[in-house]
Amino acid sequence: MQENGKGSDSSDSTGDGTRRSRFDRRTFLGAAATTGAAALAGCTGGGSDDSTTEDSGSSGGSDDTESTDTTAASGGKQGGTLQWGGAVPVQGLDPHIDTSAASKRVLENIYEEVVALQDDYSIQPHLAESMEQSDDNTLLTFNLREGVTFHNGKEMTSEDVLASYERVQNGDYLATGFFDYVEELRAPDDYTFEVQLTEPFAPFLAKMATAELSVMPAENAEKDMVEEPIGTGPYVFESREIETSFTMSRNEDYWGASDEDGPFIDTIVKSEVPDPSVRLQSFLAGEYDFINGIAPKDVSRVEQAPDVRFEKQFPKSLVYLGLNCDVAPFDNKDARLALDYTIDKEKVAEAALYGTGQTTASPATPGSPWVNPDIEPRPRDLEKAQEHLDAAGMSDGFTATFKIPQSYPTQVQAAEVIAADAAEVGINLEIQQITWSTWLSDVYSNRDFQATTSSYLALWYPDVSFYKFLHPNGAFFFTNWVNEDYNALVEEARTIYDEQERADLYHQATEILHEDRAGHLFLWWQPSLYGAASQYKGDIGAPDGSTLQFGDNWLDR
Amino acid sequence: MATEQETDRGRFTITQSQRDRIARFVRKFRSNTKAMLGFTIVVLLVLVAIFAPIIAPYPIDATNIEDRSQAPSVEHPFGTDDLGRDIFSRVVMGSRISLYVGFGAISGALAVGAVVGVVAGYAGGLTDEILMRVMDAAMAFPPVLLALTLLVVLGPELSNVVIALAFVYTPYIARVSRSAALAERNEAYVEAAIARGESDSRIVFSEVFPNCMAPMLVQGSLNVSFAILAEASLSFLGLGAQPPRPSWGLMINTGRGFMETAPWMLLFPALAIGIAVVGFNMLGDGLRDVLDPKVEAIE
Repeated sequence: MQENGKGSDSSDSTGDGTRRSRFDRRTFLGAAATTGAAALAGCTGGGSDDSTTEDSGSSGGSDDTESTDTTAASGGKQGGTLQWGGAVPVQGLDPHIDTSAASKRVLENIYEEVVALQDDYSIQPHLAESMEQSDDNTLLTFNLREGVTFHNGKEMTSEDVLASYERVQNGDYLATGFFDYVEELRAPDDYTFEVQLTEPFAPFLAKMATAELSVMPAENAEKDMVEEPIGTGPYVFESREIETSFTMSRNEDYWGASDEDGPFIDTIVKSEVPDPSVRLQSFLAGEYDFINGIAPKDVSRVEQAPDVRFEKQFPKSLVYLGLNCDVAPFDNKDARLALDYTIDKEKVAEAALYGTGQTTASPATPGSPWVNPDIEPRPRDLEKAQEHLDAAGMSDGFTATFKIPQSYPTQVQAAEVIAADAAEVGINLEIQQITWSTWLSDVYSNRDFQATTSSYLALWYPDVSFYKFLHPNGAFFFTNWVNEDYNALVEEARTIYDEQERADLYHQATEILHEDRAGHLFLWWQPSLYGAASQYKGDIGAPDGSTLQFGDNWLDR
Repeated sequence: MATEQETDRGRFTITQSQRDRIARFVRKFRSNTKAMLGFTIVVLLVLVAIFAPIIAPYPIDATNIEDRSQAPSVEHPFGTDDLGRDIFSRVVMGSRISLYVGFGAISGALAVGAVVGVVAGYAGGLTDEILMRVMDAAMAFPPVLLALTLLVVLGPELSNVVIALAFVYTPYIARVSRSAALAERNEAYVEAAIARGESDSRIVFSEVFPNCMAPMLVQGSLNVSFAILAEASLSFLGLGAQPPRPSWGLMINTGRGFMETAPWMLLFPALAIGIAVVGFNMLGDGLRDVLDPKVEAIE
């Protein structure tokens, strides 16, 4: 059981390892979480423009990407109004329902969870003071903090936590499926909360760290849908005008408030500016202190602008080429391999991301222990491509439609480069631009496609990377690639809490993905790109890689 | 314009009166600056489209990331786009798409619209009512909106753009040819044909139809410019030509994102659309001036 320092939620201003080192990392890292939050990049529903991808989130990152002028542990100045030019409009405000990264980006500051994700991807107690696991890894006990109040003034007790969890368990919410592994939820006294699992199930604790299991007051948990968010977080919901603006203000009674970690800023006003050029122009003209969703092609303009902080944080999303393994031609492994060998991944990433991306052969977050260091993307090799075409009995190549969501200009650019490359061996990919809603209905729901591109967000927990869209029972499985050996490996990994042991399984799984040329051909990891005025201090982002936590940010003016 | 001498034989050989009319037409056409300017632009455009592969110095889909977003230079007179492709080559090749859609859609619209209009105008009565009310209904929708809806159903492909636009412009052609046919119906030569005992279909297609050609031609050439513009709009919205095809509308859509950093990506395809639209518009306007007897009377 571990004690956790206060304010652990807001990233890193301390930047050192003290908090972490006090913690037995292995115990919980293993149990670390599944974020169901692998919120599909586009679930934001809108896709009215590129911004959906381009902007999504940030990763808690402090460590390496920060520019020099960020705040030190000495704390910041209180007050001020942060004008934020936001890329994707805030959607729903019920954290248990809404999948959009845009909503999570604000709700992350209003709601909190029993445990929280850290920058090293470990899970720490948050609204709990400490937590314990039984030896067989099936009983999780949380000792809740005393003196935590909701924004309505009421104190948070185990009753509220229990009500929030039971709401998800008994209803039809994003995390409901995870309760199949829950035998019982208990609140033996006001400050103790217990989860009894039916069997060791590592992803549950990770799920607990996501907004899908945010703690809300018991009376709100009774509602089917929350319209006015009330949480325990550092910021209080003030108002919103749909598709226009969203305002939240500093929580004066925040339980974790401190001179070091904030919250500092009085008011945060998010103006919804979906058009990336308009957003950037307004920002450069000084209208906003902060914007998210800078298009990769505009990075050089931001970097060159005077008095502007440019922030780039990995990993925001994983963009892939999806191949339908149930229909011709990609039901043939050699056809898939032939295509793989025609693509120059570096060139594709460069074309779409102007040097801000990173190619990959693994769905696991870069820098995490789950990445198999021995597997690299296949290099372009037209001879091998031809060999595989011959082996597939398609020596002259083949034709396939290539459905691209048009709201993602980076993916359209990538598709054009891929199609031009593939054409050299006679593989004719006919690009068809479709809307995001068509993508969801045709490609995802009806699996009516041959090749496509799309992306996933927030893959900080390996179960999401390896299970959610690559296992036939995963919530986002749609490329029809099935491999029994692979399935056995990732199923086993869910029950294992030891980091090294799990990593081994994921390394083997990655090998199968690669050798069998799975239906997801990974193209690149994409960072979140932010611009901020130089007076805006503090680390931008949140550890999950797709949201924002403003708690320790401040304005120096 | 009466054609009493126009016997069976007369339709296949050029009679003196026809020769006179053609000569008069050419004379008037050449003296009309608007018509001549439009005609010149259209001819140049057609020549560019025909010889596009010879004119274009680079392949249209050859990406070259190192040379992306280059400003216009000697090597790349219109600059390069975000994937390093030569914009001049793409604009030149794009003329084929625009003309294909423009001519294709309007030929389709003429084929259907002219028949519907002339039949309705000649027959009158209930046939006229039914045919023209259907046309009115189709005309009630804004053209691009209707084409958009059709494309959502048909799927985003260039050939479907032609079909959708042909459908959209059919009523416009039909209206014009109906009014022309209405006027011709009471001409003496039609009465003569009826007196000769010619069948209705023969009268419609052999007698009335050729005399309704002038307004159709005017309407047709005007509509070609609208169709070119509509194709650009549809491609701009992602429902027309698909990448990497060098449709001007599609190029503008991509270029929009680079307005501040690489304005040439937007500028040259936009200019090309402008020139094509102005060309067909002037040709249509000019033709109307030349063919319309009323205008002649004023002069």
